Amino acid sequence: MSTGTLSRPGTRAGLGPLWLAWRRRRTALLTGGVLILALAGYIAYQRTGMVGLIRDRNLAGCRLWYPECHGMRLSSDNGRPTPLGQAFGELNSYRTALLYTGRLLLVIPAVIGAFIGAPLVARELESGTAKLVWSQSTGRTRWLLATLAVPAAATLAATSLLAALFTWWWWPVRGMVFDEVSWVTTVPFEVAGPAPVALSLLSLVLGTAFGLLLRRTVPAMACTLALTVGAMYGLRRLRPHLVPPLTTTVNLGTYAETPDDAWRLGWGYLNRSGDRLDESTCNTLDSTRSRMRCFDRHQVVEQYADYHPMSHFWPMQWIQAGICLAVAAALAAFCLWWIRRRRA
Amino acid sequence: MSTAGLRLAGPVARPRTRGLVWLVWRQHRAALWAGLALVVAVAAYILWQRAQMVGYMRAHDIDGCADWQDFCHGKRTAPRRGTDPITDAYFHLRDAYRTPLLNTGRLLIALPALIGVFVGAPLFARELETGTHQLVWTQSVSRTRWLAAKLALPLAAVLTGTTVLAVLYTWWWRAARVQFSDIAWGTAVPFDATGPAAVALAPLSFFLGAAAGLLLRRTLPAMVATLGITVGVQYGLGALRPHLMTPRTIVSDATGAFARTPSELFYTSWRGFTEGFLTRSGEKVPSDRCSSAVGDDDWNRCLARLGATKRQYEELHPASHFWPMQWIQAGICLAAAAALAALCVWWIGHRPAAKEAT
Repeated sequence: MSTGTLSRPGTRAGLGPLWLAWRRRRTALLTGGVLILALAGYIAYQRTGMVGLIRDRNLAGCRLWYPECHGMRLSSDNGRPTPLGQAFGELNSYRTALLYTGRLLLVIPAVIGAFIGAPLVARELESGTAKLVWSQSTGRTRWLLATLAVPAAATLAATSLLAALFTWWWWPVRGMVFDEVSWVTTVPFEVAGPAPVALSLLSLVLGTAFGLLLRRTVPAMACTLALTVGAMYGLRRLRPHLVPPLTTTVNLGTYAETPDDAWRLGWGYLNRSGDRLDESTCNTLDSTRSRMRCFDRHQVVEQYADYHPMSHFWPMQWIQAGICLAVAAALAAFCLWWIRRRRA
Repeated sequence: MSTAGLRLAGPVARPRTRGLVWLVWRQHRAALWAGLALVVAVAAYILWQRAQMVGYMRAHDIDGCADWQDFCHGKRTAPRRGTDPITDAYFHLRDAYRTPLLNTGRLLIALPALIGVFVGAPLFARELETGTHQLVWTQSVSRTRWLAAKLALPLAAVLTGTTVLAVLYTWWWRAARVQFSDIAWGTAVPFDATGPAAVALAPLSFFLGAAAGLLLRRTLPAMVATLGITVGVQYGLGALRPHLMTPRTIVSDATGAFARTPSELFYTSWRGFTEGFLTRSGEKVPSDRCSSAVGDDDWNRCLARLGATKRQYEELHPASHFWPMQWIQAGICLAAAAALAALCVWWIGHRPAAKEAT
C-alpha cells in the first residue's frame, strides 16, 4: 500500500477513499476480470454448439424417455444405437459441460466471501493500516463504506454477468430434465437467475463482518467459508417451502400424474374428511386385497401429489434472492454500527 | 506467536527440537483444534449414516443385493405386476442415502483444497509477510531445521485426519456400492474420496500451499494460487484417470448382442468411453465417426462405408481396475508432493541473505 496517495485526492475530496480502494484492489479486480471474460467466452462457445446440435439434429421437444421423436426412433430393434440415440449421446456431452461449469460457478459466492470479503477489513486491522486511514480526514463510516463499495459493485457486476450467461445457456434445455440437471437441482437453480448474485453479496458482507469481529485474516476467511457453505445448505433445505406447492388429486388406484418437468415433492392418501395420510400407509401389506381392506379401514378415498411446476422457477428465485439480500443488508448495518461503536 | 519457547533451547540438541516443536504447536493450535473438530464431526456423521444404512438393509433383507440383480436372497426383485417389498426397499435406500453419500464425498474431495489453502499456504507466507521468520532465524536453530519442523507437524496432523476420513468413507462406500451401481466409480466421488488416492491428495495440496507461500511470500496471493492450482490438479487427475490403465474391450456376437458377457460386468464397470462396431478384419469403428448422420438410412450408409459389421465393441474399466488405479494415482500425487517438499528445502537453503531483509 502506498500511503502517499492519501494526500492526492484533496482536489476531489469525496472520491478519495474510493480511489484508494480501487488502487488497493487493482490486481484482484483485473485477475477476476480476465477469469470472468474467459468463462463468458467458454459459455458462449458451448451454448452456440449446443443450440446448433439441437437445431441440426432436430432435437427440439424430444425427451430421452420418448421412444420416438419427429419420426426418429431412439433405439433400433437389435439394440444398436440410432442417429437419435447418437444425437442424445452428443447432447449429453453438453449436459456434462453444463453440469461442470455450474459446479464451478457454485463455489463463486464462497470464494468471494472468503477471498475478497474476509481480508477486506481484517487485513487492515491485523496489520494496523486501518489506524493510519482512520487518522485522516475521512470518517470511519465513510472509510468502511468506500472499502466495501468497490468490491460490492464488482461482485454485483461479475456475478450478474455469469448468472445471466449461465441462464442463457441452460434456458434452451430447461425442459430436457437431464440426469442431475433439472430446473430445481443445485445446478442450475443455485447458479442461474438472481439467487447466486444475492448469495454472493451476502457472502461478501459476511466476510467483512467476520473480518471486523475477528480482526485476523485467515480465521475470518475460514469462518466465512464455513458459514457461506452452511447458508447454501440451509437455502437448499428451504427451497421446497419458498413458494406453496400445487397439489393434484386423483382417484385411488390411479397414478397421480404431475407434469414431466415438475418437481414432485411427495404423495400420499386423502381420507373421507380430507386429511392427509402418509404414502407409507398400508404399504407393508403384501396382497392387493389386504391392502384394499386397509384403505377401507382408513377411509382412504383419494390420492394426492404435491409438486412445483416449472413456472415456480422465477418466483422461487426472487424469494431466495430477497432473503439473501435482506440478511446481507442487516449484516452491513451491523458492520456500520460496530465500527462506529468501537473506540479508536 | 510466542518466542518464549525458544528459551528452552539450550546447548543440548534435544530440548532445542522440543522448543521448535512447541513453537509450531503454539502457532497452529487454533487450526489444529478446528481441524480436529471437523474430522470428529465428519467421522461421527459417516459412522451414524453407515450404521443407519446397514441397519435398514439388514432389516429389509437386502444387504449384499445389487439393484440390477433379478433375485435377492432367492426372492424375485421385480415381479411383472405391482410392487414388491424389495423394490420398495431399494427405492427407500436410494431416497434416504444417495444424497448424504454423494455430499459427504463432495465434502471430502474439497478437503485437499482446504488443507492447501488454510494450512499450507499461510505456513511460511504469514511469517515472511510479517517478518517473524527473521526472529526465529537469529536463534540457534538452522533454517532447514525450522522448515522441517514447520512442515512435519502440520503434515502429520493432516495425514492422520485425512487417513481417518478416507478409511471411514471407503468403508461406507463399499457397503453402499452394490446398491448404487449408477454412480460410476471412476468419477471424482467416490474415486478421490476413497482409498490411498484420497490420502495422497492431502500432502500434495499441503506442499503446494507451502511452496506457494515460500515463493510468493504473501498470504493472500499464496492462498489464491494454491486454490487455483489444487483445483487444476484435481481436474487434471480426473481427466488422466481413464488412461491410468488400458481399458478392457468387450466384443458382442455377430448379431450385435452381448449375450456372452455377464451382466455383472456392465453394472460394476466404469463405462462411458469408446463404443462402436468392428470391421470384418476386427478393426474398431467408433460410433461417433458417424455422428453427423441424420436419419437411420444415412447412418447405416455411413457405417457401411466404414466397413462396420453388426459386431459391436465397448471399452470399459472393470471393477478390478479400481485398486490398481487408486495406487497409481496415489503414487503420482506422492511423487509430486515429494518433489515440492524438496523444492521447499532447496529454496530455503539457497535464498541469499540479502533478500531476507526485504
